Amino acid sequence: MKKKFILAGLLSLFFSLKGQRKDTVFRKDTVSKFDIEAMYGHYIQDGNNSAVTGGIGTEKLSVYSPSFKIKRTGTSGNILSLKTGVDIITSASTDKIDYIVSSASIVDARTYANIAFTTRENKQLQWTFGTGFSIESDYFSLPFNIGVSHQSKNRMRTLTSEIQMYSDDLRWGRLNAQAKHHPVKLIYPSELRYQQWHETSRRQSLNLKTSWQQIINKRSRMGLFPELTYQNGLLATPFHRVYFTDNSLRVENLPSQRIKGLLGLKFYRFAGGRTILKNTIDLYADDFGILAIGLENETAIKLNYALTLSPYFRVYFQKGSKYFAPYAQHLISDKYYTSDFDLSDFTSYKAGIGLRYAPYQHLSRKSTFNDIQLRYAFYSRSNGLHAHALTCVINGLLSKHKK
Amino acid sequence: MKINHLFYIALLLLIFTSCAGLKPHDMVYQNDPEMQMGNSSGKSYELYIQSIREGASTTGGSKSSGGCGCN
Repeated sequence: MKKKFILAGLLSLFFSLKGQRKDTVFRKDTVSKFDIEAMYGHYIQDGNNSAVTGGIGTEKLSVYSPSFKIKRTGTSGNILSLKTGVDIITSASTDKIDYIVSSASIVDARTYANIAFTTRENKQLQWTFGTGFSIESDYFSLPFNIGVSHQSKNRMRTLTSEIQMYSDDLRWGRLNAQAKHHPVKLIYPSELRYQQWHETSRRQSLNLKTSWQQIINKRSRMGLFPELTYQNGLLATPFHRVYFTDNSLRVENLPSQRIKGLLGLKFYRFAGGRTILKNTIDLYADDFGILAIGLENETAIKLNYALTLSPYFRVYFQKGSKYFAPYAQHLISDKYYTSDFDLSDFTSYKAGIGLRYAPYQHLSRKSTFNDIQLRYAFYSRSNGLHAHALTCVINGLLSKHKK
Repeated sequence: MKINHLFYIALLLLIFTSCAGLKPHDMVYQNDPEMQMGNSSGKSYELYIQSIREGASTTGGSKSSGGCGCN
């Protein structure tokens, strides 16, 4: 009797089961997204070791940097991004390239645009291709890059590799009507224009950047960032003066090749429920004789669901280049020489604070205000240079539904 | 000395390769925007300036394009 009930139950269950009926009303709704970012950066500095005047004199400088970025993520997952911007530079020392007439730049501008395309081969592998340009009165640069990124199946490990190439031309004239918008010459200091100091005006750079990011546990991750750079061509700046012990004066001269090596280490940890510790160590060496180590901590503190406060501090130690000597201390017998204090022995400190407000608020059905980020940093170098940097970034999202 | 080096390399490899996968609900901390190792545009701007004012390169701070970085 009991078996009959079970059999009847099973039969009624069998006949009551239906295949999933196809919903003729539902259609897959795909979305393409436009991430939009507007940024303004402001930088001011002052010091008394300008390389334009041989390692003495004002380094007063202001840079105003608006930029705009748009990233389109298509329905297929491919990403196209475009970034464009301008750095407007007002500089006290570059005016002293020419003591008679303000020549190349008491005010100069660097205009740039970069485009990149990222395509996803599968869930784990993606490729990126990019190019662009950068132009200012005495500089033109063409970058090319190709990169690949691979994420492990369990999403615990990400490996990336990227090759970047830059082809630069340091001749002046592209933005000048008198030069018919053609590059014509290198700009030397006015009193040193009686001879051609450098044979080439071009510079090539090749960067190989790799990264290895690993999630260690649910609260920690680590990253290794090795980088190798090879440069050749004109690596000196043609309007930098160098004074020698015998009071003679020449244009800066540096080797035509340079190899740089960098190893970056990052360790991020979510400590507690609201605090993220972000630690970075940079180890650097090159064949100009520069050795450097940089240590940075940024601590992000989540004050509430939308507001994050991020104080940060960085200390950096640099052993300078063997080609560096201060004002009037180079020997005339030196083959290579510079009085650029960026290449000298120093210690620098950077302290700053970041604020991020991220409400991800819908402004309309298709537009979202993602976040606004403010950052301020004070930078101080042991040789007297100090600087302030302020940035404001606003991010939004536009989505387009396709049926 | 060489054995010591090998030991440290092996330890490092062990750290980087022995991590088991996390369940999706355990990824809540890892998926937080603050845990991502890429740089924001504001930070990239600071690193760009840093790369001009210092002789060394910094992690994630490559020059996005040319420029003399005068002064």
